[in-house]
Amino acid sequence: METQPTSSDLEQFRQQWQQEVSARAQQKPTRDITTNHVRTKSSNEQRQRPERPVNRPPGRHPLAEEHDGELIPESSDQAVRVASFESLNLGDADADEFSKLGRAEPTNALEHYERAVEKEAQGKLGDSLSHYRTAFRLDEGVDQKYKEKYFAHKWKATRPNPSNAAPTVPSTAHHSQSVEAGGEAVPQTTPQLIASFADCEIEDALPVIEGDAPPPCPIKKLPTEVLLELLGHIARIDISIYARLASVCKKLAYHVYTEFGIWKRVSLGPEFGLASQKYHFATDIQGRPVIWSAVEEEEQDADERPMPPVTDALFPASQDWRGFFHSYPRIRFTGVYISTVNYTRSGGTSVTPSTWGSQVHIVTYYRYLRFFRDGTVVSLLTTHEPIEVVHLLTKENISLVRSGKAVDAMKFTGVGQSFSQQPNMPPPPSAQNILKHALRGRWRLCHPSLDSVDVASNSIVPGDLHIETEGGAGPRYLYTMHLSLKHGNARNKFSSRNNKLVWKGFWSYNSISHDWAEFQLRNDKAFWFSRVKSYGLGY
Amino acid sequence: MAETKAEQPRLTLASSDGEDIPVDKDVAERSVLIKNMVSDLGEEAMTEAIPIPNVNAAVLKKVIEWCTHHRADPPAPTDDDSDSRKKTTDIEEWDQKFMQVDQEMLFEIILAANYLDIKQLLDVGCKTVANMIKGKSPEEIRKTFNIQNDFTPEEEDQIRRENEWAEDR
Repeated sequence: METQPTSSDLEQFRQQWQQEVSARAQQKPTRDITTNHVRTKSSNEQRQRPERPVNRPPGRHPLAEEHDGELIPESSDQAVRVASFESLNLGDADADEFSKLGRAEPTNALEHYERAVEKEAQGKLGDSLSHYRTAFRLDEGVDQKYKEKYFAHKWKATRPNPSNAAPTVPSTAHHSQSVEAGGEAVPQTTPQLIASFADCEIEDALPVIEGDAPPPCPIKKLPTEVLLELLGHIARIDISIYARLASVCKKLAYHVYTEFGIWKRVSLGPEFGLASQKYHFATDIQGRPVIWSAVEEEEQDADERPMPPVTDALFPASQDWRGFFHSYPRIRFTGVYISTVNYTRSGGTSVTPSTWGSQVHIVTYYRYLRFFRDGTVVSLLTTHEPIEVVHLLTKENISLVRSGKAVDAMKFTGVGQSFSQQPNMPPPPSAQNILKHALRGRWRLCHPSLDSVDVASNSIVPGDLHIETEGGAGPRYLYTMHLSLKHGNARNKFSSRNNKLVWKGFWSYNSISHDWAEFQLRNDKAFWFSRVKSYGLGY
Repeated sequence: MAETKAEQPRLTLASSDGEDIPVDKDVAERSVLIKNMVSDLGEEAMTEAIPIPNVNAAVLKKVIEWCTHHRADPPAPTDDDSDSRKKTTDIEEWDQKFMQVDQEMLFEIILAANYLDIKQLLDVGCKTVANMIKGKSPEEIRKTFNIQNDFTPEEEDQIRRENEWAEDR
C-alpha cells in the first residue's frame, strides 16, 4: 500500500501486527468464525439433512419440522441483521436501508468493521474479509467497539435490576442521571414507570433565553378527550408515529401505553391490523390467467368465503391489545421480505494436477417476497442485490414488464426482450431484466378462528402463510410456498415480531399432469422483513 | 346553486366573544351539534342567535369557511369503512391550503371541530397534525410543538427501546 515505507513506519507496522497476532491468540476466533461462517454452516447443514422423499403433496414438507424451531444462533448472521435493523434508527426516522446514499469510504476501524459486516451479509466474502483485516489492523479491539455500539443496550437491558444489588461500582452508566423523579434513581419496570406518568401534563418547552416567555405550546391546551381523539387518528394513519409519540413526553407516553381502545382499533383495523390480512385467497383460485387479471380488479369475491370476519369476539376480552398488535401474526405491507442465500460449491477441476488450492464458488442469491393488501404477492428469485431490486418491486412495473412479455408469448417469439413502446414506461432495460423473473401470486394466512380448533388436523396452523405463484419454469406450473411467521429475535421481547418467514415447504405443481414436485431448499434461508420507505404504507 | 342559495334559511351563530355570525343553514348543519340543536328547537332556532360558547369568532369563521366549501359533500362515512380510509394521509388540496395556519389556530380548529361534532373537519385537522410529525424523531416532535422533554435520559431510552418494533408497523 505504502510506496515509500520509512523505517519508523515499518517498525510501527510491525508492532501493530504483533499486537494483532497476540490479540488473536488471546481472544480466540471471533472473526475467524465470522469469515468462515458461511462455509461451515452450509456444509454442516448438508450433513445433517435427512433423506427426503420426493413427490409428496403439500402439507408435510420435511422442512416444516426442521426449520420450525429454529432459534436464533449467536451467529454473525444474526448480528448483521440486528445491526442492520438498528442502524435504521439513525437519521430520518422513516428511513430504510435501501436508499442509495452517497457513501463515503470507511476511514476508521469501526467503519471498516461495519462495512465488512455489511459485505458479509451480502455474501461478498472477499470484500468483507479485506475490510475486516483493515479494521483489525487499525484497531485490534474493533470488534468490542462494534459490539459496544450495536449491542450495548442489550447488556444494559439484561443486567439484573440493581434495586437490591449494592451499587458497588459507582461508575456504571450513571451519566447525567437526574435524581428528580421522586428522589429515586432506581430503574423501574415499564408498567410502574408508565403508571407514574398518569398525572403528568404536557409541559412548555423552556424558553431559549432564561426568563423569557416560553414558546407557545398550543397542543397542551387540548383537553384529554380531544387529545385521545387526535391520538386515535394518528394511530390509524401511521402506527409508527403513534408509538414514537410515547418517547416525546410523559403524558403522551402514558396515553400511548394505556389507551387499549386505540390499540384494539389498530389491531383489528384495516390499516395495519387483522382486517388488512387475507385469510383466504382474495384473488381467484385458478391458475395464471386469473391471477393476472386479478392484479387489476379484486375484492369482488373477497366476501364470498365462509370464514367469519375477524372481530374482537375471537379473542379474550382481557386481551392486551398493545401486546397483541406487537406479536400476533400479520403480514406487513410497508416493506419486503428478503431471504439471502449464500452457499459454496467446489469450482471446476483445475487443469494442472498440482494446484495451490481448489476453486470454491461462493454463490449468493436472494428471494424477495412483497405482499400487497389486495391479497396478491410478488415473488422474485434473483442474484441482484436488494438495493437494486426493492424499489422496482411495484405492481405497475411488473405489469408493464409482463405486458411486453405476454405479447411476445402470443407471437411465439423469443425471450421477452421487446417491450411495448409506451411513453410512460418507467423501468429501464436493466430493471426489466431483473423484473422479468418476478412471479405474481397470491397469499393467505391461517385464519385466527383456527387458533382454538384442533390444529393437528390442519395442514396450516396459526402464523402459517400459504403462497401460490406462477411457475417460473413455464405456464403449466404453479408454485406453492408454505411459510410460517416467526419472531426474528425471540429473546428480546421489545424487538420487532413477525419479521421472519421460515420455510415449511416449497412445491411445484404441474397443472397438466397434476404432479407435485418438491423443491429441496437445501441452502435456503428464512425471509427477513425490511422496511422500504418508497412503499409507503402499502396502500 | 344560486337560486337555492337565495332561498337558504339562515342561522345566526354567536361566538364566545360575542360576535354574531350569520350562516346558511345547510352550512351550519355540517356540524352535528348544530344540526341536532336546530332539529330540537325547530323554527325557533332560526330567529335567535345560537350560542357557541367554546369557540371564538376567528375560529368560528374559519370553521364556517370550511363548512361552506364542503357544504355539498356526502355525509361522513361510518368509522370503519376501510375503503374511505385508503390513502389515509392524503388531504385534498383545498383542505391543505385551508390548514396552513399557525399551530394555535390549528388546535383551535381541532377543538372546535370536536365540540361542534364535524367529523370530517376533525379528520382533516388530525391528519394535518399527523403530517406535521411524520418522519420526525421524538426530539423533532418536541421542537415542532414546543413540548418539554420531561423524561430522564434513562426513562426516555427505556421507552424508546420498547417501542422500536412499531417502526415496522
